Amino acid sequence: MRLMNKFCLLLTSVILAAFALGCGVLGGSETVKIGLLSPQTGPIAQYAPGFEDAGRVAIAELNAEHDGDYVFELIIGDSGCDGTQAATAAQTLIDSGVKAIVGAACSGATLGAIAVTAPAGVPMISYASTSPAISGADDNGHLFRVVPSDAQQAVALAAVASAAGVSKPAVLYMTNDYGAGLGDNFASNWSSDTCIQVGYDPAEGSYDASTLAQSVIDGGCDSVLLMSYATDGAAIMEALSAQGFSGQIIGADGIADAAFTESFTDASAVGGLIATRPRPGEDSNAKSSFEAAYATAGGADGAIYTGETYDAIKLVAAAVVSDPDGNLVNAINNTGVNYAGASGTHTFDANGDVLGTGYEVCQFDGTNFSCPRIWTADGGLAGN
Amino acid sequence: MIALNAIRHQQIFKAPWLRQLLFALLLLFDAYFGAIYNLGFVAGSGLFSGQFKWIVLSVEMMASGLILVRILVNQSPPKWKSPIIILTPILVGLIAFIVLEVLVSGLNRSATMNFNLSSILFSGLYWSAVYLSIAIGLTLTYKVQRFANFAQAEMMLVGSYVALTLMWSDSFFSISDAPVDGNINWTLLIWASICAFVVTGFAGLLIDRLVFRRLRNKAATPQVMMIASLGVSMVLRAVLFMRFSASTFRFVPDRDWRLTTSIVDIPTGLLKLNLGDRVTKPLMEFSANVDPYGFAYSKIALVLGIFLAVIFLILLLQKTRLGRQMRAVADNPDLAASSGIHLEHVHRSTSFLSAGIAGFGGSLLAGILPINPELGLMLLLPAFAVIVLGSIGSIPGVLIGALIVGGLRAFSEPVLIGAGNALDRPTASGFAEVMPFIFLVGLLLLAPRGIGSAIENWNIDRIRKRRMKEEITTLPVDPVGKEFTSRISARNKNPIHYFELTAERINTTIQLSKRSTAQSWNFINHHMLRMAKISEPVFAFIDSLFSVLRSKIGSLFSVRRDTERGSWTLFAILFLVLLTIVLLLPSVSVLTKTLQVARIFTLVGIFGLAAFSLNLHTGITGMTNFGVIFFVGIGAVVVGLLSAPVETNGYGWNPIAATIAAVIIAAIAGWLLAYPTARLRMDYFAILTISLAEILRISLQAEPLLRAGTVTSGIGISQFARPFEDWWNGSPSEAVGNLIGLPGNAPYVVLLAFMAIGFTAGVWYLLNTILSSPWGRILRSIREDEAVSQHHGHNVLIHKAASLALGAAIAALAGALWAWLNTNIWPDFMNPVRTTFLIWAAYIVGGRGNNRGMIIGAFIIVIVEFVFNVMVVSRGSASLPFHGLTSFLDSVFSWLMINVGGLVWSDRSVNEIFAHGNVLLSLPHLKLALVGLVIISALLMSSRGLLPEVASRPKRPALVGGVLDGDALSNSSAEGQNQLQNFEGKGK
Repeated sequence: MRLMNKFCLLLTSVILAAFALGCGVLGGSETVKIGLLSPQTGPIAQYAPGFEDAGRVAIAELNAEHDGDYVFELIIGDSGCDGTQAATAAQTLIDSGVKAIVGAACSGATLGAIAVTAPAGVPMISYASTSPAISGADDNGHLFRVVPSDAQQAVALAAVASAAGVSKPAVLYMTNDYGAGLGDNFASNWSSDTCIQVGYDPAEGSYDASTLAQSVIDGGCDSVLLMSYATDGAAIMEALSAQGFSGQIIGADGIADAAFTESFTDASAVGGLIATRPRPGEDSNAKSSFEAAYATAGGADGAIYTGETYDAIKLVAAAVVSDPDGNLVNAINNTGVNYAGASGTHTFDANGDVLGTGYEVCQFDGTNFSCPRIWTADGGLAGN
Repeated sequence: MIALNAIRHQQIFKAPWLRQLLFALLLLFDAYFGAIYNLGFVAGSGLFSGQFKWIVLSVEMMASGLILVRILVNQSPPKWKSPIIILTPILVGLIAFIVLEVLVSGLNRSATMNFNLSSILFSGLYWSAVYLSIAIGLTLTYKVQRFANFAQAEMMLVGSYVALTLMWSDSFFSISDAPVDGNINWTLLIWASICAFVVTGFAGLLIDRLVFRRLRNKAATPQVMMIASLGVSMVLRAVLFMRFSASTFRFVPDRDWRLTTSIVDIPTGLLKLNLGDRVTKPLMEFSANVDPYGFAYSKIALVLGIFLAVIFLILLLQKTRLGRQMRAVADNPDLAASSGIHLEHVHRSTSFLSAGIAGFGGSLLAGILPINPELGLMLLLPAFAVIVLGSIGSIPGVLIGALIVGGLRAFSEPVLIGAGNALDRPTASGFAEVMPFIFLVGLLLLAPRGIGSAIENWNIDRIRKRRMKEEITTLPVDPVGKEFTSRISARNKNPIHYFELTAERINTTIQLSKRSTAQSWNFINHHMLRMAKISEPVFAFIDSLFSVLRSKIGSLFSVRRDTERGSWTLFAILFLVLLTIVLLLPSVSVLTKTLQVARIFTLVGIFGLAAFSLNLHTGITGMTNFGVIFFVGIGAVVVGLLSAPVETNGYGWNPIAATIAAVIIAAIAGWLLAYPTARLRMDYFAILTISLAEILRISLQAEPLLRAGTVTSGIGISQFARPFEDWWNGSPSEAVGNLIGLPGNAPYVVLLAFMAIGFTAGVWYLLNTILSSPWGRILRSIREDEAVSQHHGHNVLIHKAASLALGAAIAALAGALWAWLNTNIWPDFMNPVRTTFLIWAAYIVGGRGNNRGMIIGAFIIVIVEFVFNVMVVSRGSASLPFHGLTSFLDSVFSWLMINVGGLVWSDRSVNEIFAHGNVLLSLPHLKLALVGLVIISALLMSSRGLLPEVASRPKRPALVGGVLDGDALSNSSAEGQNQLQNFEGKGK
């Protein structure tokens, strides 16, 4: 018994010592902690390095910009792409004194975390949750996101597909909230019949790209709508090319990036791909400058939603700076009006959603990547 | 007339199978008329409407078909039994097609399924090879060491990463990075597969020496070994994550390998199946005029490599001395040992081989799929389905199991796509992933011992018959003379001569490969033995370290944990320690601390309830349940769906009513589960339950009826009402807020924490009462020896069913709490790897069979999560606790990676993963590694956990030496212990 007590004492003192060790006070300018929920473990862990790298780029720029006034710190927690784990991580972020949380990526994780952050009065901006469930969440105004809901992009994709003159498109999509949402919405916006619709789980080892490609060919489809991430999208396109498919392939923002070609061993398979992605602001060079900074910082390859992560962090910082002691939710709402970011121009509506300023339509011609056309909700498809 | 009645009553209906037949036919006709004419009980009664009607009808029809097949299997004459069992997969498939046809035509739709023959065949082969790469090792370990090794998937990944590391090495990178030149270079692929085999083999050996051998020496049960392997797999996965990050990498043996033109064109035909439309379209159309199917070189390498490995293994087992020894140990270890076989030697070889083959497969797989450390888990569960189908432990069985599962996987894709598109369920193809499990569940109901045992029985039967025939018909002849005459006659008939010759050649080849197999194995084995000798002192040191540690910890817990009083004392101490940690967790304000503490208590309640359920199933009744999350999931999903608003696809129930419904539904599911599974072996039951959980998870992704909360029916269930939320948001939250000293109202999670504590305490009390009743003793007796308790007149089936139902109801309650805490339900929360295994960790660490232990285990699991999160976030700011510790860990890790690891791998292999050489330790994965280590060391130190089961026994009359009751035992004498052991008998 006595030993047991000693053990308790020892344990307690070790913990206390650890806290004491870690405690240090930073002097000088005001420190602002911004939390980032990143899916470091779980099904989309492979994209976590990209989110974190983009976040670090944003923080480095902010600290250079506000040198002397503010010190921004990025506190990264592991969302695990899971509601329970994300909520626990959000709790720890709040406990370490973050002003706002950027995240999470998976919609389930975002909705789990908001159940913790909203009662604590900490706003959250998701950088990758596209589920329609986010709009209706019971968040007391605390939940925002800088990615538009899938519904709009599906309309853009339908317009792009009919402009490309396809008649019997196969719809291949991931059975997660992003892919399934986009696929469902595309099918309901597409005027005539789709050829076949096929869902697959994007986790490696749970789908066979060549079977998917074969089903497109056997169905006699003349084109493919691909709602995928980069790695699985590349595998499917390679398989389509290997099986001799020559129809038009149209993708969404998961693969609409110049870096997409890096996912291929044989880049010839990517030629002719058309893909849509949220359109950056009219006169904004935020996108190109972010991409340059990301590349310089050695950001992870094959990453997704990096521009959105960067924007969300910069937006939080801008809101904090605009009104340091006021209500941060209001400040974010005020800052988020025509905010020109790397991933588009963001204006929050009453649900904290962004409507976006339409999409740009990009194409790969073997070696070059360019985005000559745009699509807007009012004007439809424009450009050449 | 009277006679007829007599016959009917006395004979026909006395045979249970005839009653079953009648029942099945009734179901069949009801379903058929319901689907086509909208008549009958299901369709006509109005109980079910809309999509539900169709689902119930198809389930009804499928069930009738399965019962019919079952009658066929059970009633077939013994001669035909085994072939029929082997044919059941085809029968079940046929039934599925008939059900689909009736369903689609009932809905007046038509479904088109395109079967591209070569695509299905070769995709099937590919999947078989993928699953086999894990399943062979799994089977081998199972056969010889008698436990299911969860770490096998990670062993395969070790092979993949060995291949990657080799690719990044200075000497090989130029080959991999060489530009496309049209020539396929084999060098790197061959070296990578050899290295992967050897390195992974030695890794397997090392793990066996460090973990499994210790457990073997303590005569641990297969269940304990299985859980230990779970810990090993966690540690291995965590190490791979820390070393190679979560990013995906491709193994490129040479760029030419991976070109889209690097394929073999295989001629194919397209078989079109039209279901539902019997008027305008033919049932089948075949066209041979289609483009050939391209099978990639890398897949050919995998398929060839894996199937050759299986042949190698079969030869090794059948033809070499070691193989004979292995089979002998598999059959009867004691007998094998007494006939002079060195058991440890055999175990060593087995672990080397099973790990090595997995690594070999991993290196080949890395050439096809982008590799990341999660990959293993995606393949582990299907691999388990493969070995169960093939009757665990049979190598030919596993081959057939893999071919069936792979073929099924490839075949189900066009079926699901066709049916899904016709039935407004385009996501249905997501079910292809769980087809192996669905099939497995169906098949285990028909043939509880799997297909492999049927094949073996069939073979044995055939051989026996042939022998009998030979004995009767053949007279003793001079064998040489016989051969001579047959040869002479063969020369005269050319084709036969040709076959003879071929057969002879094949025979020589087999002889040769046999010899080379034996020789190469001897070579490896020789070096293995030398390595083992050299490293022995190191292991001896580790062993002594362990024993010192054990004795030290043993003296710390000097409380007698196996008495009621001691157990309570230790419980109180541990609980207080954990509570102190909760209070010490950093936070910034009263509000955030309140949220934190409330969250911790709610989570402890959830995990505690789930652990209670697991303890009841596994710890008390002895049924290894890997599907706790299945019952938890039922609870969460039912509560969520029923109490979500009607306008967003929910049912708008009151949350309390929904909870009661969820508990009842889960209990019914548990009860029903007992009937088909009662006869299953422990491991089969484990695989079955984990399969059910996986099926539910994929259903959440792919089935539109299981979505609610958004107008567009997006994936997930959200927006559901929570109990007492409106009441709470009135005055109580304000009052409580004032009480705690919050600036505003108390958040809802505070109420949830009280509810969680209430539920947990209530269930705990209930369980204690029930388990100390005679029923508790019956359950324990079933755990100890099912046959004996059956013999004592207990209806084991009913008791098991009741235990399953009660546990399922408790788990459903945990699910309801979980749904309320998260406010939404997404498929990933059911991830078996995360949740199920965490609950298992709580159960093992806490102490099997002791509900106090469950609370402590759950508390530890939750606290570990929180403490580690504090460490994870501390890297971001110097002002956070643990910041110094994490920087220190980072520098140690960096030193290990660059300075120590640099001796083995190239700088490139570090820089590919950590940009700019900025080596950081992934703390979430360190947590995973520590959870794994805790499981392993808990099992190694004391396999009974922190708070072991307290044996409760009735007071006994005075013995000769004095009074022997619970109190006397606690200051026990050696004599008392002996008495106790005699009393407990063989159970312990």
